[in-house]
Amino acid sequence: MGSEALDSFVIKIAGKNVRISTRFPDTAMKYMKDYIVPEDSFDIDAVVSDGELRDIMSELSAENAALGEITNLYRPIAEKMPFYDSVVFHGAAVEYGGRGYVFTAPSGTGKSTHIALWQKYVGDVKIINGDKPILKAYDDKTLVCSTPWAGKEHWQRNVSRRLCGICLMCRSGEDNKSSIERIVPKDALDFLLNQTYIPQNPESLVATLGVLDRILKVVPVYKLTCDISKDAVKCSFEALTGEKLD
Amino acid sequence: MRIKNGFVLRDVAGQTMVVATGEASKSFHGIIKLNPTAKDVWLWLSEGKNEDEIAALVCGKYDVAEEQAKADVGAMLRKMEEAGFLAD
Repeated sequence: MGSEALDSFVIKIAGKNVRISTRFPDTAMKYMKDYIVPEDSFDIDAVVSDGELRDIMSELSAENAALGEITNLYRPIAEKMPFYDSVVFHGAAVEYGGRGYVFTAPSGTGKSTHIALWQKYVGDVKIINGDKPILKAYDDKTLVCSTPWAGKEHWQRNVSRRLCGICLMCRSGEDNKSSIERIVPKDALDFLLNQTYIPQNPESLVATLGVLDRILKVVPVYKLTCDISKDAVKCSFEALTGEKLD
Repeated sequence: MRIKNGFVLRDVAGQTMVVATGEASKSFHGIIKLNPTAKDVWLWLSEGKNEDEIAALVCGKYDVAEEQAKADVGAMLRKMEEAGFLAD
């Protein structure tokens, strides 16, 4: 089945129009409703091929086919975004005081838990995206932009905010003390590369490295070692925002 | 001896990285990290310098004995050859 035979609609993410072609238009449009624009022109064409869907389906039951297709539609987008100064990033992005902050760590470390604690203890913290925000590099700033792909909780709001800090997260060990330090970008590279979408397309991979370099020139990076506690929130909040948390 | 066409060098946050595109991407996928000396060797090699010339340049730029420079450059070139980065 070619993409011509599929239903399609256009969404706007990180300032770019993306045509979504899908076998499950009702489910896909519901999932992406906050991003749909009434336009026909597009910069990026996103479709999951029959072969790719078959690979996905071998691991999923039939009723999950729609979700399988939808969750994999971000890949063709992530392949193209580096050509538009953007990378798809694995992390949980929040907004506080109009500024964006991203917490990043391998799945299961506790990103969602940590941002939920920010909401509980700081207040006035709004989710931007819980799983796959896009980081878009400009010369003097980086924006963190939401996407429909937002993890199992589907925490997302269609907004873009200036990114004012990237926080690498590690679980604290036996002593359960939380600590945070600002680190030089070079020391964060391996961690960040693991959390950045690495394109199959070599030219896109080269572009990805360029985007990362530009982001790391303007956005401070911190390493947080934490447990699940108010103390952990105090630690990251005060370092990232420069404000006090009582 | 030359580096295959298609390898692209990029500095990210002060770390030099190499990615294979085009012809080179058929035999290599991924990202190679180079330290400053390896970057110099890579660049000199892509300028067409041979093993002896590169060893002499390393000797001149870094404070190492000629023997050591020759051994180090030789080792790096063998590694690059084994990884399939070089063409005749």
